[in-house]
Amino acid sequence: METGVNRPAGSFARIATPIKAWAQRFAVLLLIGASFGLMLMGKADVVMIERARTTVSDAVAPVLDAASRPVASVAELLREGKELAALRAENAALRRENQRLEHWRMVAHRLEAENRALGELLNLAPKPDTRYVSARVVADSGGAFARSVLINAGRKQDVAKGQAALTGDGLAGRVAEVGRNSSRILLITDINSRIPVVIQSTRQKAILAGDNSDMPRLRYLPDEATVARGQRVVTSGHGGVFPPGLPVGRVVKVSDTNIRVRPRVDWNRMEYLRVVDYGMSGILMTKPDPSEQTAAASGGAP
Amino acid sequence: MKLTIWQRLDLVARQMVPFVATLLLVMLALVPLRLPNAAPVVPWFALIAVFYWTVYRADLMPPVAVFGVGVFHDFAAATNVGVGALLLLLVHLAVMPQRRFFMSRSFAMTWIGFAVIAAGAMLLLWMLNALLEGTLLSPEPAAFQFLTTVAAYPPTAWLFTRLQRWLLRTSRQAGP
Repeated sequence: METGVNRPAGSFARIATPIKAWAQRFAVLLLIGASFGLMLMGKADVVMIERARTTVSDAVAPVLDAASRPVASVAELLREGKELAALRAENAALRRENQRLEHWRMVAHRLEAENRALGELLNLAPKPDTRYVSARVVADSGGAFARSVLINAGRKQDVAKGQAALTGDGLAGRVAEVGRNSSRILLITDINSRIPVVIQSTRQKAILAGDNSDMPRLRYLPDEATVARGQRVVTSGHGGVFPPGLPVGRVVKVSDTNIRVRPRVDWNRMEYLRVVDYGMSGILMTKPDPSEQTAAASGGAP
Repeated sequence: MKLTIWQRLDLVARQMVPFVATLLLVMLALVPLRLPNAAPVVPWFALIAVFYWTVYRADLMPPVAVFGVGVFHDFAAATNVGVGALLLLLVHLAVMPQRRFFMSRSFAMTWIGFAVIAAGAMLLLWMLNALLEGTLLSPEPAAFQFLTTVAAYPPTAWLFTRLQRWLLRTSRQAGP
């Protein structure tokens, strides 16, 4: 565009003296050194860095919450407009599905009763109470090298590190950092995400490892495992952090070294997330007790 | 001529405008757009801002401010902390000696110059992230983010030009 207007006004003195220029260059070097220092500290998972990050998240979350509402409304409006056109067909499909689900509901009731009766016979320990916290997704992670979102619930709402975050479809990620009023959810597609899972039909255990692509990999499957496309993958509950049996996705690609899973979650419609409090202190969790906040912040074992 | 306290405060506030505007832009870029696969390819607005202000008003975007923008971006976007700050500082260093060149050229030339710098920065970003994760990363998202960032340069620069003119105008009215 125009370049003439970009000369500094007279009132702002331009730095011209060599000493000042030298000082500034020295400052740049110092700051570059500081950046490297931050990088190392970030890599070493220093508590201070995490605290700084949650402080920033807490500060920006309310602003982003306000800013994301109109965007969400517009997106919703567009989607509704699109859906309006297909209303009739969808209604018929839903009615059919409803009939089918009605049948499954009956089956579920019967199985639940049976399960309870058998559990009583065996003196099974009662399942822990599961509590949910719902929160809005207020920010995407910016950039090509991370997959995480920020939600507007934190320590105040009893969100704790390590808990599972779900959409209506299935597992979306786990709580990686908790601030006062905001938490960072590491999505299952992130390169740092590792989730213990089982293949539902064969009960074979594996680790679902993200690599920033849309389809995370299944790793550490036993050698004798038989994997086929279309098999469902659910959480295994190992580690005691996640409830077992949360739907994760389906196997979509199988080769000798590369087994890929397509998550059930629709990343584009992820407006709300439910964080699951499984009520069990697993290896990653400590009870969110106000007196133990420092322990919770460092994520240490009890 | 001596300035009163209020004039001083006014001056400081004015000098903060580019920095604050940049932070706002970085923050707004995090708003979920709910478009298919939008999040990984959202333009790197911090890069545009640092390039623009370094070229046209380096006095209002000193290295400390560049560092601040970088660290804020790294924290808010939950990317590897320090990486953004380092790259923005390097861009600042690379652009500083070329300021006069960019200022005296047409907009198209500046845009091309920005594209070259952005390509270098994105390549370094990709390498640094791969180094920190200890594994080879797919370069695809970085390539797409490079394209969206270059595409976002003209509207963002236009916005900053407006801001700069407004700064100039009001400082003339208020100034001594």
